[in-house]
Amino acid sequence: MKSRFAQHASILGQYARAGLARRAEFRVEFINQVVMDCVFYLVHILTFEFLYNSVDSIEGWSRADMRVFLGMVFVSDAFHMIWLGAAWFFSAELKDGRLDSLRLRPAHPVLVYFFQRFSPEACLNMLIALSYLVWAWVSAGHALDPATLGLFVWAILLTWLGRVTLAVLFSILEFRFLNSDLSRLFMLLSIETADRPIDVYPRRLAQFLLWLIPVATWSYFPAALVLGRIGPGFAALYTLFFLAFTVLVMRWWRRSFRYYESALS
Amino acid sequence: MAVHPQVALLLQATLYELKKVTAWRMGFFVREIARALLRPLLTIFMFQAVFAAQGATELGGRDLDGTVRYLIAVAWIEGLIFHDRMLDLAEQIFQGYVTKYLVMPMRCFTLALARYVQFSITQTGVAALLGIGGALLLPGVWPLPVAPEALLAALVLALAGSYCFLLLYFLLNSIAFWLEVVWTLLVMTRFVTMFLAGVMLPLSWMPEPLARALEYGFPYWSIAGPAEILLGERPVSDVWTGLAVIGVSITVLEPLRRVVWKRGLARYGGSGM
Repeated sequence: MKSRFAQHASILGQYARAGLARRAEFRVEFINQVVMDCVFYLVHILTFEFLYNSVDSIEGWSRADMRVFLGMVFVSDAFHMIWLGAAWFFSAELKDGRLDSLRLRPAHPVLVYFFQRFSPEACLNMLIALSYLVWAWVSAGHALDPATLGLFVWAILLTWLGRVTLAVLFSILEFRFLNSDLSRLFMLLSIETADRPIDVYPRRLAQFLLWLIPVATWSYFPAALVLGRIGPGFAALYTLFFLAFTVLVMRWWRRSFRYYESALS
Repeated sequence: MAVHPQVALLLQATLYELKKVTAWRMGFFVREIARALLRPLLTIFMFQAVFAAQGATELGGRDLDGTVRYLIAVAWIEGLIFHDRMLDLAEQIFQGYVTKYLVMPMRCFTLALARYVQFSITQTGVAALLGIGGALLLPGVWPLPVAPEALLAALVLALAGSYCFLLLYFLLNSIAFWLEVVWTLLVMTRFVTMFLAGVMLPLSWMPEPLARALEYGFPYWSIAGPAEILLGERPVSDVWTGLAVIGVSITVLEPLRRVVWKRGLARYGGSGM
């Protein structure tokens, strides 16, 4: 019998295979999605590059630091595009009663539902995002030693986990307020908020984004971690906090799923 | 004399669209508030940090108060601009539900136009409420129009520019006859046009040649141009320049939209209504 990890990996593999087959049918769409994300990157890069033509630093973030921050924004976004596309459809599918199969629980329902729309084109975007991040890092004169690589792995895993956790957290609202599309709204607001370092926001809002709705995990915290803007002690503590937060959110989601009623299948 | 059938259809469809949009009261309220308030608020925080870090009184041709007023004005006007998610034509084409336009005496564009009319009526109402509320609650911050004619000029430009966006999105949706999925094109267009319109960054912060070039595009005259007229940063007489740019854009987009729709319909093979 397969181990729990192998079972989950096997499901992810099947989703990836299906995603590749689906996208092979829409070849132009494949290119379009890559170009679309490149346009998204370009607009953000130009916005900040033009801003830094007039200023030297924003709340202590130099131009070089901000490029690393943007690299994290892009890596985080690409991860969402690769794996979490289903989050956008949760409200409609919950309303239409299309979640019956999740009751069978071949694996954790969060993995079965949220990871089902694998996007191969976003893998290419992830490569572009990672390349930009590495370029931003190297061009700022930072070293690329094993310790730094370890820090990057930590930061990137945290941004990915942040994406999953908040996508799941927002979807819980749909169980309570059926057909409200609040998960989409909160997702869009979070994307908007995570596009800038939380240091630029008023203190209370920054604290809110760090501890209550930890949008900071998407881009600010990982970038601050690799740039050494936060100490290792706080970084470790915050990571532990966020892991505990994730566990609570997953449990909450499973409890909320009990509210789901459907006559379809 | 009977009203022209397309005009009657436009009125009827606009009424249905208005009923539909107001039926979702809570969602409508939340979306509008979130859309109208959050982005400008975050951008204002960003610029406050920029000014504070630099210790400058004037950056990009404006002081901090002027920049805040500009950003609010831009967000206020942006609410009037037709949104790409307002059309679901590509989905209908992909699902095969446009056969009705081949057999029934109605034009598809009339229905899209009805949605534009409904959107313009609703959003003008929302903008008016926001304007009154903002002026009462934030008297020192809210971008008050320098003159009634400036407000009128800004409104006319924004609604005319919004019509250009309708034509552009209709055109992109029609490409679904060939590409089947066009949402990426729509999102791409939204990113680019909002950048060109000075929503993400005021044009005065961009390099001079680029800023000058953008003033020849309808996105600028739909949002940033009206905002500048509203705030008195441009004379009201510039409304004619804006209308000329928008007019040229409509002259290009309208026939293009017709040709693409006609050719697409000619190759359409769906069976749904």
